[in-house]
Amino acid sequence: MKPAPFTYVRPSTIDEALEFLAASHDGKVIAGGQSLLPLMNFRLARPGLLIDVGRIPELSEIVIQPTTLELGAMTRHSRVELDPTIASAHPLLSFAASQIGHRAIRNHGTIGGSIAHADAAAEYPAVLTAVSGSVTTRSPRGERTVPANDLFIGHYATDLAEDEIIIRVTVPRVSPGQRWGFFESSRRPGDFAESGAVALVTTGADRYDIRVVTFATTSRPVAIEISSGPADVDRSLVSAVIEHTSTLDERERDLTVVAVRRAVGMALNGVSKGGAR
Amino acid sequence: MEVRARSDEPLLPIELTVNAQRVSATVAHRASLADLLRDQLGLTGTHVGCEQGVCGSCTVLVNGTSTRACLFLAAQADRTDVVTIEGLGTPAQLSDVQQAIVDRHGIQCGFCTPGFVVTLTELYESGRLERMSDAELRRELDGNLCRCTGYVGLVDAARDLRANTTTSRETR
Repeated sequence: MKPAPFTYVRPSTIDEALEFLAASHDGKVIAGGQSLLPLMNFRLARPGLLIDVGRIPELSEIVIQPTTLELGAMTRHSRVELDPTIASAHPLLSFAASQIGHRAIRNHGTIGGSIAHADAAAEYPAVLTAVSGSVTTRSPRGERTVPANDLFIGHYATDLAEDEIIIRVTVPRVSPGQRWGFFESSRRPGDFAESGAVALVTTGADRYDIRVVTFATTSRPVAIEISSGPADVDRSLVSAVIEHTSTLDERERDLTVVAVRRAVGMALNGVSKGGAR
Repeated sequence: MEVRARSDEPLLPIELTVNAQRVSATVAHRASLADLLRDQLGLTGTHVGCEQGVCGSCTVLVNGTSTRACLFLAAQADRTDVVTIEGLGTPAQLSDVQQAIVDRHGIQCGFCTPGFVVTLTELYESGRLERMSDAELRRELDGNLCRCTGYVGLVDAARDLRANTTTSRETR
């Protein structure tokens, strides 16, 4: 289907974009458009004004710091997936990016767009939550930093105000003593995830500290933390998952348990099985 | 070339290159790149299937990068370089990608073919194909759906291209 009529504008600066957004009662920012345009084609979304931030240079800046990655909101998934500097600085983020949709989608979709859109099945919100990352936003009221924990409220729902734009995403790097795992499942490769989990594991001599974040079955990323002896990991994980997924039906809870097991298993075994393909 | 939309909606002027030809066009704000290519420029090799980015039949190259023409506004194509199936190879001289698909019978009805050619062209020219396993290669093709061939001929064509990468490279 074709989208409902709208006006398209392409500002050259962030502040110009904010002016457009503030002046319109139904304006929407378009970044890569790979989530927004399908919704508009189905007429599930009908913004009257589309504000294209795709050619604002500041939004594509990337800085690799010792403990974090600072990614401009327009950073494309393909770049995070394939750029060797980013992949070696943050292999978890890079792997997660590789699981998003298909090549042409990844070429255009952006990290800012994915996070602002906050689809429950999205990969980046879960990774950002797992590593306790944040976004920097700008609005007429100035800039603020929103931690991932406070940002994701539900499916398509974030803490962002309607006149607020994500300009940068801060992604803490996985520390050297931690192992990571990522798993998602879908009916076909590239489909929206049906279940997913991101795991960070610290292995001590007689203790495993595990932080695992579920997505897709949960309407927002849900962080679960356990600390257990190696022999009790699975039992502790499963009971923690069940405790955190009381609103899910049996099938969704089973899918969640599997995703959590696979993500943690990937972290413990160092085997790259954590994807839908 | 100058083309004007037949539309009573407000129009935007854009300038772009399509298959190495300069185009000045006026487009509806909501026109997709697919709409521009097919309806205004008569380049109907780019197909419209799902209009949500899943089927891949609308895939074109924008600034060398594979793109869903159904999820890219004509307005966004302003000052870009677009290549469609019509700009890849000729009937007299098929590109390496096209020849590989023909040789492996990777076509039946032809609906998915332009999208596969574009996807494979990007992959082939990126230099990433030669290092790929079969599993990785298949994954690169998962954004293009085919209802006819069962994918076998298309995957075989991709394997041929992977093997040929270091030998004969077509220059265009």
